[in-house]
Amino acid sequence: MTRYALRRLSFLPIIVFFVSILVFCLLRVLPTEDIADVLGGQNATQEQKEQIREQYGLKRPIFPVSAGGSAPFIELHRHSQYGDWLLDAVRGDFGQTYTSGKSVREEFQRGFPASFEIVALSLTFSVIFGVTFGVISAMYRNRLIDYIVRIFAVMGTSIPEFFLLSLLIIIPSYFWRYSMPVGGYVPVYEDPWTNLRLFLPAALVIGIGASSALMRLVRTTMLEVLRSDYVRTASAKGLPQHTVIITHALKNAGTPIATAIGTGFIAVFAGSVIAEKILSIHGVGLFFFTSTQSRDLPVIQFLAVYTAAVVVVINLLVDLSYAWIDPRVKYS
Amino acid sequence: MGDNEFGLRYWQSRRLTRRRLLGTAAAGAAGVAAISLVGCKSDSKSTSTPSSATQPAGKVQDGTQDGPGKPGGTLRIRQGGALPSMKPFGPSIFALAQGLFLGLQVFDHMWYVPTDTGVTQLFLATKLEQPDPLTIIATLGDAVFHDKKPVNGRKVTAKDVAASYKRFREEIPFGYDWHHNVMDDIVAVDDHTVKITQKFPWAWVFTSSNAGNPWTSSILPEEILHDDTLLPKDAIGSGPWVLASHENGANVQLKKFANFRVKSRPLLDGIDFRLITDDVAGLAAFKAGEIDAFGFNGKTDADDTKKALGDKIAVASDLQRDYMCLMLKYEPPFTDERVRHAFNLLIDRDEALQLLVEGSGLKAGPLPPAHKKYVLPDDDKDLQEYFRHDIADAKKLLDAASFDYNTEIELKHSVRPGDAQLSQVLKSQLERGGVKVKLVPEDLVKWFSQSLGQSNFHMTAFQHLPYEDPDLPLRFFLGAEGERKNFMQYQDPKVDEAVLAAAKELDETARIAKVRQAQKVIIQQWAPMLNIYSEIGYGARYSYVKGAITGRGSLGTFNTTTWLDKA
Repeated sequence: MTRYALRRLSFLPIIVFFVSILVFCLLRVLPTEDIADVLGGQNATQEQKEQIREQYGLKRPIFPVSAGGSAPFIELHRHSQYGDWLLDAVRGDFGQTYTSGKSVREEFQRGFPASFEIVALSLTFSVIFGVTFGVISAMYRNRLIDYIVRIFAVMGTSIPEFFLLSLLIIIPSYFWRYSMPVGGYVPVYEDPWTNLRLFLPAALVIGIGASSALMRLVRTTMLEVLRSDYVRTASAKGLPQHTVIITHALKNAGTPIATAIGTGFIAVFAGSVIAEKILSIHGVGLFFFTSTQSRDLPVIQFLAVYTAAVVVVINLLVDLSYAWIDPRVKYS
Repeated sequence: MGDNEFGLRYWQSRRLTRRRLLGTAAAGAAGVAAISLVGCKSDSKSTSTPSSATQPAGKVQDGTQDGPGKPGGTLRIRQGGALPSMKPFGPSIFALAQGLFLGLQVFDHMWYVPTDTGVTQLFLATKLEQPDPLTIIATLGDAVFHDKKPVNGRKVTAKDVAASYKRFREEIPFGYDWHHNVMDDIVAVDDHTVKITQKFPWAWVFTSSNAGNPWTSSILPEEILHDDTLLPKDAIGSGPWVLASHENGANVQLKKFANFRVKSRPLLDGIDFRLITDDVAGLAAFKAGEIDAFGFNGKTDADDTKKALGDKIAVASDLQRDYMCLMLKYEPPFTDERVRHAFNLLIDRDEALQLLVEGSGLKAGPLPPAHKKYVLPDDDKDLQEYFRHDIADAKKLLDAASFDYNTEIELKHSVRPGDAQLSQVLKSQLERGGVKVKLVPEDLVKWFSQSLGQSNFHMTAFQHLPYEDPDLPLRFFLGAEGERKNFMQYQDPKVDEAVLAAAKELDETARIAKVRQAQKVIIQQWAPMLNIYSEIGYGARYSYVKGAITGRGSLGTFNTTTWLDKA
């Protein structure tokens, strides 16, 4: 399995490389505002705009290789926008933001703890609620609890998260004049109570929203498994119901559930951006959001590549989990 | 002393709108402005009586109305967005937020001209002389910088002032900029004397859009003006507040400067800015008592909050200096004055006020109504024609101009809710006159830098930023000087002459008359920017927040009179 994991990880740089090229192309090919116009403003002269383009390296060729006018019809460029970016990226330098001139990597590192906490908490709630209520719904099929869970699952999928997050602010404020803490991220080790007051409600909302799809999948998979002969045999042998459900049924339903959790992670990841915006948590999501608004290309480039890398790693972890869930799965 | 070339005017903002341009932290300033908002009466000196709809009412407050202040306490204010950096110098649009924020709090200035009084208030300067129209001599009082390395609390000198002004001039200006267009030179005659020379006489020189700009008249220590390692992270000034900490531009904390030039000021120990990007979250935080002041999005929010909190809070209102407009590009069909006049007749400003701000505002003429001293009186015939809404007369004018009713005219606007809603209202109003309008929403950055900035539009509707004096609102009508034209690509010698005459009139009484005359000419020529209305802003503070000052708008944080009456 280690060899399998390493082999899969070896694809990561290749995938990230191609994603970076694609994103780089899209950001420069698609019609967008000239950064010199944005930064220089209306009062900038042509000369000043050229200086801005020079300063941000926008006058270099985009790629190290381009078509040439004469034989051999290929031109190589020592310095190019993508080439220089790639070399710097390999060294851990992802450039500087246009808006503030700060290091993209440092800005990311500063915002990462808050974003990580939202995502981790939300995913945890998503899995707990999704699996628990999916199993309950399957066990009590066509009973009242099953209908309640299914209605809840549909609502959770239908209602947008930003609406729920806004209600999370409005309802306590209206009825109890309560507000979540303001003033930014406080690490859990500094002030656990304030940290949880800030993150728990939002993580619950995002987690419950993301759990809806998982709930339905768990229910469907469990229903299939509960009809199996070995489950009927286990029950007939007199095993306690919880042992039958958890040890026999749930484990056998684990593979599609693991896949769904992997997909759910992406949903939670996206939801955290909305949460950060609404709750004013200065994390990676809000950083990405404001950078997109202000056309901060170095940031968008980095975060697109980062997201691709995260998705690849999560998919790998999901695949590896199959071997843990189902001993019959062997990676060689 | 003839005319000289000067650039065009754009956004010169001390406070961005509550709807925040590019999500900057200027809402922090707006939040503090809520403290200073109290309904103000019309200026008794003005002969104009503001017309229509709701007018703000209440007493003017000068900071002393609550009695002698008590020192101590920390004011908590909402910060609408993180500051990109602490460096107040370019690139232009991205330096605006922190430039204003720091300029209003951390940096000192030689003087300041409040909009409501128009009277120059001396700050660091103890005397201002203008021996001739081109020269200003400022005598500085004693002050020291904040005690931070490498400045270490040394004295502020005239060299710092001159160097700061020149440093701001090095950057590409954001909008019209006195430093670039009017200032010729600034020198330190000695440690306590600054001499400014202008390229030509300029009546507005002292105002907040010109040499008194709270951003670009900030005084910084000379030795750090080009320190690109320190400036993005820290701000060292001589203003009433010391930048104590920030989390990468968010959650800024200011502490009282103990050695401020005004002894026993400021009264507060500090100001805490709390990052709350969402308006709903901000209101919730205010109701929960997490912040001490708040600027509402409209009267309904203000009334609801007052109902909920009762006497715990004081709600105030103030006529805003920002205003909505419809801009027409000077090309067919808008080269025909009859068409411009007709479009103005089609606009129903009363309806726009009702639909967009619940009637809480005033119609705007060529000069927004907040500039009370300078606006035309309500009984002025030209202004009455400007505000007239008459679809039948509009159609007659369009027919006389052989207007092509079959052509669809694009109306570009940014996707900001205020601009989008205004555009929809204008579309429906223009369509009543048979004009076909196609709305083209655009991302704010694209609209600002390309459509508006490059004059790439037929019509565009938007909210002008608040300007602290009449100079900039009038200069939007000014035609080209040199290679640059205004956004509308419009030039009319009569309008230019009238606007420039006002800008050069040094006598205030005569200048008021000339500003009014300029407005009349703008109307008579039907210049292609049609102003719609200015709204009334509502803000609240908890009743324990005392010492507010009225009418300072975004510059309320200059005042160091705020104090907290908490047991």
